[in-house]
Amino acid sequence: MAIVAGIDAGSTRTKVVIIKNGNIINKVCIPTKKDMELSAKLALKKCIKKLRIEKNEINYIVATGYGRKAIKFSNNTISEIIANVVGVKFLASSLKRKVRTIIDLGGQDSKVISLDENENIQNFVMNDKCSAGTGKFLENISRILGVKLEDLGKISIKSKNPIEINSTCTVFAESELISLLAQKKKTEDIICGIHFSIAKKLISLANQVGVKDVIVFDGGGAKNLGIKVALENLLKRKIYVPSEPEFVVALGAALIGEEYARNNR
Amino acid sequence: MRNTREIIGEEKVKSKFGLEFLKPSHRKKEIERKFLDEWEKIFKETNSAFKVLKNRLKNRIVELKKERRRGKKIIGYFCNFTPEELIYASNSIPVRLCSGSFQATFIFDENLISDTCPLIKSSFGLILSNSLFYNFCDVIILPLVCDGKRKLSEILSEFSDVWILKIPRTKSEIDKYLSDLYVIKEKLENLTGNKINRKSLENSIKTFHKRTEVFREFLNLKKESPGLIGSLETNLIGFTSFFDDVEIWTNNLKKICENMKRNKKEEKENKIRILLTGSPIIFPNTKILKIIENYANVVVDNFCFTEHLYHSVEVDDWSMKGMMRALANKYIAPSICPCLLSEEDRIDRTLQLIEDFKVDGVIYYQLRNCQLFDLEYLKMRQVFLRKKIPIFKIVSDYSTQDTEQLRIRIETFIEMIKRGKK
Repeated sequence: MAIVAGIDAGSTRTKVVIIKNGNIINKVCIPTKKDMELSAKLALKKCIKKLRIEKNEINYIVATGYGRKAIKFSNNTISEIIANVVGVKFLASSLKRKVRTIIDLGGQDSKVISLDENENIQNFVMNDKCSAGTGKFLENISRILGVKLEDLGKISIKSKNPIEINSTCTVFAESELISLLAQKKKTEDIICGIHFSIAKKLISLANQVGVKDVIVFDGGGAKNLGIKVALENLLKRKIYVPSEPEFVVALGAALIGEEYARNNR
Repeated sequence: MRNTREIIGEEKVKSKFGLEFLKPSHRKKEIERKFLDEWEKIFKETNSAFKVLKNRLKNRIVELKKERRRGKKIIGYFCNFTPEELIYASNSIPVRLCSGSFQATFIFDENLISDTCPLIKSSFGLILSNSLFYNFCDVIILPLVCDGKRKLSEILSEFSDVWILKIPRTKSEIDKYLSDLYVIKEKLENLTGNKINRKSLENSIKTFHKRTEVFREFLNLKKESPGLIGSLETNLIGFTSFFDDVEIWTNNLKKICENMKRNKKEEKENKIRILLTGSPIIFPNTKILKIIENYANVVVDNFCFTEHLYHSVEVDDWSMKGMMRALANKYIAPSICPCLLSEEDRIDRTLQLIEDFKVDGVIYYQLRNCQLFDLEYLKMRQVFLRKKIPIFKIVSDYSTQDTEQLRIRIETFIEMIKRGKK
């Protein structure tokens, strides 16, 4: 068996996962720079440096994500939705039940994928072309509130009275936030309100394809505990978040790479 | 058209009843440049046999000018409900004004009309800015189909002579349409001074029969080798029929078909076979076709804007009455326009095509802000899913800013079909 790399060139982060014989041997996540191919190269370099292997020892590279076409050194590309499904299937194999719904919150997209009883992709929906209620929006919020992105979740679960926030539009929410801050509202209540508004948006997307158990929530946005809690609260169901949700798609790409390498595609 | 509008100073155009628009001449250059760019580009992307059409756009504009100077009337029209045969029989020239130019939509946008069908915005923009072949019409025939077109007829009538053509809401009301055709016929006769008689209409219908014959031959070729003739080629063929002379068009397509037959090669790869349907995709709005063709073959499409080429006037009785009725039949009976209450017809026809062309999946294209196509999808989707035919809707307008978002959706849908087949 071979060493295969999956590169997820996302709009805000570039992720690389390297697998050998179906096991993850290393992974790296770096912010995406203007040049997507360069970012991918850097991430891959970083990833193999730790492994003490050379680039030419990697037998196959599959690129996915928004910038997949820009990565000319990859052997093949795959749509991130398919990669996401493959990644989730792999991680969820330890669960006794089949995954039926995947909610993915990325840097500038949100997607909901519905799977049939054999975990084959049945349907999917994506947000429209604007980035309302996505990772970009969260980054903006953390900047306005002066809270670190990774702390948003922790802070929000302290809230007892989440404020109702109406807008998930990256532009309009900013003015809404500023007026809330002017009213001296508590930061945790504001953040919690924001998480609920994002969760509501995700659920309205999910309802278009139907929500069925088991539900997996992944993508960089799934690292935010506050959104997971809000989703569970609104759906009244348990939601599974993989331990490192941002790597699911890159992992899926790597697994597809193994499949391709076997079939010599 | 010229006498009904007045240009005030440098900036504005005013209609006879005082409707004012920012003078769109500043847009004209941009519209035409982009349009001609796309026109050049399409010949690089399509099969070389289609190069015979390359000069037709520019030449036709010159020809139309010349014909007009010689006193021939040029009749602009919209939609798939205006019988070209009738116009042709009055010895005038039909030119279809439906447009896919994104740049032309700005003219409505500038006047705060933004949430409207891009086809309507774009066509109006091209007419008002006098771009390309959209500016020579002596009169515009506008079938009252969707609500957007109804209102467009009002707005356009401020700037040009507009004849409305009433379209029934159900196919059983075909007689109403037929009686309106007689009205149009009389108006054409009065405008041109040429009587439409049995002889001239028969000649006209027979000329268009030849067009249908060649177009069907073309579709057959496409059916046999979808890798050779893709959706871009079909789109180009459809679009050139909007403005080109029917006989020249027929001859050119005949040449193309002969050329293709000679160069027919084995299919290279077994790509997924897609049927494309929904809102019309009119040149130069070809972004969707380009994306799909990267991953799959559009083996067949089901759009209103090539239907007029496919169907022919079936005449049993070559009397005036018989021909007029046959004309009405051609335009109403097989119509798949969602303005008519006939969704089953579209579904049945699509199912038939799926079977005939061994289609793997259906992509349903909806122009943003078109309620009719949006609502029609509901039933179509459920029927298709029950039959286990993959179907997927994409919504877009004429801008190209969403290309990457569309690409990921389309790529995933096609990959989904591939994985489902395994």
